[in-house]
Amino acid sequence: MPSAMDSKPVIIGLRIGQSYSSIAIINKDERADCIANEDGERQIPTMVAFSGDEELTGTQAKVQLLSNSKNTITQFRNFIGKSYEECKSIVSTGSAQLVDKDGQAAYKVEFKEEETIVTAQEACTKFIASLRESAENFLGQSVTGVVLAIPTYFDDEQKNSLRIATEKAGLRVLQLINEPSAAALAYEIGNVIISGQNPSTTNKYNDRIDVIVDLGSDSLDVSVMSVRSGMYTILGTTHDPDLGGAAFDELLAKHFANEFKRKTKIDIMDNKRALVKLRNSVEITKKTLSSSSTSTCSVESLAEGIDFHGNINRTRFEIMANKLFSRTLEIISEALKNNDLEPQSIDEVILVGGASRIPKLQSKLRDMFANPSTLIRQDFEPDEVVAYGCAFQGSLISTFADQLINDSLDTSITLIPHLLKSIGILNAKKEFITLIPENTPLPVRRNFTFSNYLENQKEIYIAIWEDKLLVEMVLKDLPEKKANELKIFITIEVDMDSKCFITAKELISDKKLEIEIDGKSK
Amino acid sequence: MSQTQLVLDSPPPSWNEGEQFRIHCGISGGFMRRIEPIGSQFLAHARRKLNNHSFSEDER
Ligand SMILES: Nc1ncnc2c1ncn2[C@@H]1O[C@H](COP(=O)(O)OP(=O)(O)OP(=O)(O)O)[C@@H](O)[C@H]1O
Ligand SMILES: [Mg+2]
Repeated sequence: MPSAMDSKPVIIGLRIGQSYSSIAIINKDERADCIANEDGERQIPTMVAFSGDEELTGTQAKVQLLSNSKNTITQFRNFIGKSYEECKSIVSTGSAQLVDKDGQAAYKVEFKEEETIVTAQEACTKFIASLRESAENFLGQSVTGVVLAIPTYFDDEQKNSLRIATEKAGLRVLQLINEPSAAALAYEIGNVIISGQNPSTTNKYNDRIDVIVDLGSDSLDVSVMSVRSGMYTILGTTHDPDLGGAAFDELLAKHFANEFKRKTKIDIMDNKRALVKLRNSVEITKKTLSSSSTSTCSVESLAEGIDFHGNINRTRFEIMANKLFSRTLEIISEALKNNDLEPQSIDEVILVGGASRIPKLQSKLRDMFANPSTLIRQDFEPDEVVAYGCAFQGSLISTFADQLINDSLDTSITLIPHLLKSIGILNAKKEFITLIPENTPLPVRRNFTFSNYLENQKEIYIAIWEDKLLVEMVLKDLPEKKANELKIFITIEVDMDSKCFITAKELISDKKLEIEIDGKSK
Repeated sequence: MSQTQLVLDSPPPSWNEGEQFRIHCGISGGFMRRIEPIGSQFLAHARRKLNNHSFSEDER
C-alpha cells in the first residue's frame, strides 16, 4: 500500500481577479509558473455562463458573452460574502441580472430552460472547480490543496465565503493570503532561485520598504509594506475602487463611439449592447498599444448593422489617459504620505495587475521613483505574480499539518508588537548607523561586528540611540592593535515587552559587557 | 553598510574612569501590528511562538 510519504502533496496557487484569474504551480526546477487552461489562456476570464444545458466558464464563457450576456455572470468576485443590498448599486454592465437570494447577492439566469438563481458564492464554486480541473488536466494528478490570494479590502465575511466556495469546489484551502504580500513573496523567493541573490541588499538582514502597485481591471491598490529580516508587515493600503484597466477601456470606447457617430450619425452611448461590444473590442486595442505604437478597433455590426473600424496611436491614447495616470500617481503619493514616506525612501516598487503593463504608466512610475537605489520590479508577468507567490507559499507549507497551519494563523502569533523607532549606534564619525529599523516585529535579535577607529585604542565607546540617547557603554583594557583590527561583537535583542538586551564583546581579549534596559511604556 | 562606517571611537573626555555604562532611558514601547503569515522567516517565528522558544533555544 502506498504510504502518505509516497504521494507528494500537489498544491496550487490561485488568484481570482474581478476580471481574470490565474493558476500557478511550482515547477521541477523550483520556479513558479502559470498553467494555461484548455483554451490556451493563462489569464482566465473570471466568468461563468449558462447556455442551454451547458455550464461554461473562463474563456468559453467569455466568447459567448455578447450573444448570451443575460446568462453570463461576470465581476462576481467582489460580491462574494456580500448582501444584495450592498451590491445592488454597483451594477456591472453586460452581465446576468443581480437579484436578492435570502439577502445574498445572486444572479438570475436561464439554465436548462428554467429560471435559476445562482449566488455569487455558487458562481465562484463553479468557476474554481473549473480551475481545479484545468490544473488537474495539466498536471495529470489530483490537486490536494490551494493557497488563495485575496484583495486587502476583503472583510472576514468575504474571506469566509471565498473559503467555503473553494472547498465546495473540492479544493482544500491551506491559506488565504493578501495579494500584495503574495507578490512580494514571489519576488523574494523567485529572485533567490533565479539569481541566487536576495532582491535588494540594503543590508545583511535584507530590510526594505516595498510599495506594491496593483492596477487591475476594476481597481487600484497601493500597499506599503515593510520587510524586516524576511518578515512582512503591511503598513497600509490605499485603494481606488474606480481606477483600473476598465477605466482605460472606457476612454477608448468613448473615443471610438464619437468617431462612429461622426461617420454614421448614430449615437451608441445609450445602446447597451453596442457599448458592451465596443468595450470588449477596445480592451484588445488597449493591450496592443502596450506593445505597438498603433492599434485598431474593429466591431462587426456595431449598431444598425453597420461595422466599425478605427485606428489609434499610442501618443493619442496617452494624452487621453493622462488624467488616469495622474490619478494613479496621486494615490501612490497618498499611500506614501499616510506612512510618512518619501519616494526616495522606497527600496522596491513592485508592479502588479495587467494594466501596469501600460508603458506610459511605467515611465511615470520611473520618474516618480527616480532614486537609483529604488528598484522597479517588473520581471514577472504582473497579472501572474500574485499567483506565483501563492504557489511558493503553498510549497513552503505543503508538508505541514492543517492544525499547525491554522495555529500559526492565530492572532496570538500574527498580531505582535513592532519596534516604534529605529535603534542605532553612533559610530566614530558621529554617523547614526541603524541596527534595527523601525517596524521590526518583536522579539528581534541582531548581531553586528564593529572595529576600532584608532591605533592602540584601549577603550571602545558604544552609544546606543533611538531618537535620543538610550545607553552608553565602554569596553576597557583592550589589546593594542592597529586601527580596524579589533573585532567588537555587538548583539541587540528586544523582547515582546520592549525590554532591550545589549551585549558587547571584544573577541581577542574576550572582554564583555552585558546590559539590560527595561522597556518603558509609551 | 560599508566597513569603514563600522568603527567605534574612544569614550568622550567627560567619561569617568571606572564607569562601565550609563543607562539614560528605555526604548519606546512596541506598536501592535499584524505580520503577514508568509515566507520562511514567518514560519520560524510561528514555530518559536508555538513552542515557546526563545531565539537561543531555537538555534540549538
Ligand atoms: N498588455 C496590457 N496592456 C494594458 N492593459 C492590460 C494588458 N494586459 C492586461 N491588461 C489589463 O489588465 C486588466 C486585468 O488585470 P488583472 O488580471 O490584474 O485584473 P483583475 O485582478 O482581474 O482585476 P482586479 O484586480 O481589479 O480585481 C484588464 O483591464 C486588462 O485589459
Ligand atoms: Mg487583481
